[in-house]
Formats: sequence, C-alpha cells, structure tokens
Amino acid sequence: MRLDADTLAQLFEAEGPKLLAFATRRTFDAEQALDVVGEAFATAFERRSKFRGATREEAVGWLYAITRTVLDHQFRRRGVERRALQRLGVEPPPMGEDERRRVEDLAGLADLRAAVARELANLPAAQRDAVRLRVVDELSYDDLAARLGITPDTARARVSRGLRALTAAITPMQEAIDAR
Amino acid sequence: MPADRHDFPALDRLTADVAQAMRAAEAADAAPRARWWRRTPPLAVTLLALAVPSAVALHATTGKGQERGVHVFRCDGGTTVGAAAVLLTGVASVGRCSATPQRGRIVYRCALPGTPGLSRTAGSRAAAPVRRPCA
Repeated sequence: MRLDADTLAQLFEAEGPKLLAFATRRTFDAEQALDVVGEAFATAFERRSKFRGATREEAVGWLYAITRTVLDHQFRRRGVERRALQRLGVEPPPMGEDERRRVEDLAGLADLRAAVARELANLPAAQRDAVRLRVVDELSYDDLAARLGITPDTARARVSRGLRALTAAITPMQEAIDAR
Repeated sequence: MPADRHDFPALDRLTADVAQAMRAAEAADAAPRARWWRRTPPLAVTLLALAVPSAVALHATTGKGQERGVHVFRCDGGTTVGAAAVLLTGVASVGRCSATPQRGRIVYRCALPGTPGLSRTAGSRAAAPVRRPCA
C-alpha cells in the first residue's frame, strides 16, 4: 500500500475522531490532543516513504504508533511539539468549549478522571503529596524536596513510584475504552 | 466514526488544512522532477542532432548523394561501421572510406591506395561483401 497525500487525507478523515479520543485519554486535554493528532498526521506524511505495510489496517496501526511517539515526546517535553505541522505550514485551530466537551465524552474522560482521583486517594500520603506537587503544582524536584523536607533523590523516587501506580491502574481502563 | 465528524469543527478544519498542505507539499516535491524533464531534450532530438551532421558528412563523401544506403561497411583495417557507429565514429570513419554507387551495388573503397576495397549488393543486408582491389 502506497501512502500518498490523498490516502493519508482519507485516513485522517476516517480515523481522526478515534485518534483524537485516543490522544485525549492520554493528555486529559482535548485541545492538546488535537495538536497531537495534527502533529501525528504531519509526521506520518513526512515519513510516508518508510511505511512498509500492505493493508489499510496496517496503515492505521502505523498512525497509532506515530501518535504514541508524539505523545511520548509531549510527556517528555511537557508540551506538544508542532514541528512537522509547522513545516507543513498548518496551525491547529482553537477548539470551542462545546467541542471540547464532546471530545471528552467520546474519550470517556469523566470515567478516567474519576479513576485517577480514586487511585490518587489510594496512594500512600507521601507519594500522593509528591505527585500532587510535581504534576499539579509543577514544582521542580529541588523545590518539591525543599517543600517536603526530603532530598531531591527521595522526591524523584516518590513521584516515580506514585506515577507508576497510577499508570498501572489507568492504562487498562484506557485500553478498554480504546477497544470499544 | 465519520458520523461524529460534524460534531468536531476544529478537527474538521485541521483535517482539511493538513490534507491541503500535504497535497501542496507533494506537488512541490514532484515539480522539480517535471521541470528537469522539460529542460532535458528528448532522446530522439539528441539522436537527430547527432545523426543529421553525420549523415550530411557521409553524404558529401559518398558520391554526389546517389548512394542507395549505407548499412554496414568494412575497411581493411577491420573497422566495422554500423548505423549507430556512424553516429559515434562519424567523420573519422568517413575520412578513411568512400562509397561509390554503381549499378545495383555500392562499392566502398578505402582511402589508402593499394588496399583492397569492398562492395556489397545494394538493398541486401545479408549479401556478403565482395572484395575488390582498390583502384
């Protein structure tokens, strides 16, 4: 199967909403997810010659893999990269409040948020505080350590353990909704 | 789920913008190749540009333009000149050999005196060359 601009445009049209919901379940933010999906399609276009699949299903799987890569970069850099989109000269449009709500419904975000709150409450207090300060308040590890009166290494370890526990609880839910 | 598309105007717009940009980028990628082909003369033109001067040169040295056709001829030096080879070896070969039309045949004579010339029946590619002494 040869991926050209027309084929990718058709895939984008057919799979866009599902990919948007997929990305929203991982970013917990519909507008950020729209950036992720746009970047994923622009990246897929740039790498289209490297696609070795033969079927549409493989092309869709390849798009999801690229979307995961864009999400990974986003988590690592704490922000969505739009390099491929910028190279194409495309600026993602703003998303209205109604649309954001519809996307979040499609993504099943309310259930996921409730699950995150539940799992966060179940964490040991030390880990829960560390995760809150790091993720919600966006403190650096040095500041977080100073706030809690622990060393930066201990702060890293608490955040890491807390996030791992949350991921273990949330991922099966995300995958169950993806499979619907 | 295409039915949901109408509920997502931002996604619709992003889809349209990306599709349009992809098509434009693809067309821009293809454009330099097309321009290259337009710049390069076609093979037939190149061959004609080589063949016409060679044919004129050959015509001038083969007896007032009365020859019936030059397919293959051979000089004593062992040079075989075919239609394509004429294009390449051109003037050098023509300088060494001359063709004189006679009734029903073409006689190719070598330019060097004292060497035998060759003749073949005009219009018959399969005819074996007949050795004739040079005048």
